[in-house]
Amino acid sequence: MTDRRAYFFLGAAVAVLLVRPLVPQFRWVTLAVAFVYLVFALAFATANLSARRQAIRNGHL
Amino acid sequence: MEIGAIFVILLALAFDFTNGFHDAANSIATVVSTRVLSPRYAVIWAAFFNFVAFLIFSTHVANTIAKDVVMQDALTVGVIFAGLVGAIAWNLLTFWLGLPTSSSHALVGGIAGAAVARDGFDVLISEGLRTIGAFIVLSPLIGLALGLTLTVIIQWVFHRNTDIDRLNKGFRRGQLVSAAAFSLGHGGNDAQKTMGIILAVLIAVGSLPPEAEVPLWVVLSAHTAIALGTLFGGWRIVKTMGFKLTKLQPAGGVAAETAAAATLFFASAQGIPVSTTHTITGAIVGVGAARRLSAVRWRVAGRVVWAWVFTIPGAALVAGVVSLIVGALG
Repeated sequence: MTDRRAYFFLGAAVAVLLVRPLVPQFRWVTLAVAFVYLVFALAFATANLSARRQAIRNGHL
Repeated sequence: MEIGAIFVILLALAFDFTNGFHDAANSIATVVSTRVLSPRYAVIWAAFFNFVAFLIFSTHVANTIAKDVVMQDALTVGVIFAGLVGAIAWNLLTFWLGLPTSSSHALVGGIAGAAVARDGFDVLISEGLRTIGAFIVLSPLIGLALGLTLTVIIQWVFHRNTDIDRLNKGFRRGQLVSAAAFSLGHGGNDAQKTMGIILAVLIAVGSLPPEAEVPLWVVLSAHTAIALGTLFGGWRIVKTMGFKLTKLQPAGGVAAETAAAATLFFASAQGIPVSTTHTITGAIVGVGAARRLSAVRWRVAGRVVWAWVFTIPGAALVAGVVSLIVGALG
């Protein structure tokens, strides 16, 4: 089953891209933020971040 | 200077004081909850960095509030007074209802609503309002993205570390720095909103020319007001809030505060008034989401979204009514 975070971050990327035309002077900033969300959406949709899971298993992060 | 202008300046400083009073909890709640500092020392820490923020940030945000929301001809002392009353009334109402609204957005909405009620929609500066409106959505989303990224980086770097006590000790120390950075960002962005209001009053009464920059006494008084608000009011709220935010580990606290501080630094440098509450909320959601979605308090996040939607029109409506009353009274 796809991690629900994939949909959440995809939604966040869409929200940033929808606001983008309002602030053309910050187009690079909005593009960078949308890109970060898309990367995380892709990561959570396709694979597990093993180090993250291990850290959670360790219980200290 | 006329007595009305002095009264509005004092009202603006009182607004700044309440801002420090309420938002101190945002910057030091995690430091208190992880017992790095006691509530008393934590508010002193935050208040100090609130105050010294004037040494780091320029006054771009103040200029935006004074010059990029409403045309200067429409910014009379009466309109600014009505805008402030609208913002304060909206803050009190939403505080009573338990909605986490933004003082900054209430202020912008209040000033805009008061001016529109008096002179119509033509007095609004669309470009300035568009940027402020866009960053109502963008500032928490930038905070969230940075919080998420920092948390994943921390997890990747330290996931092999098995000495948990030592790791937590290191991050607890790191929290002193990240909380200080967030307090700097809070002081830098929020105190400037008051400076903008005072600048607008001074221009309106002719004490300063329209192209004037913020005088030093205004900068110092605004930072003093927000720092005193943090110092005298914050610790009680921190005591309550700090112990409710125990779900964040020291590493998460460092990530959230650093992400929010970076967002506030960016916004202040660009002259954009943003909500410090929404920014830190976004960053905390980012840290929580890096673990699992159910780690996030979605009910709180949902209430923040409602606050986004209603704050500017709500404060504008209250300020508009006050503006009409002030106008009728002459």
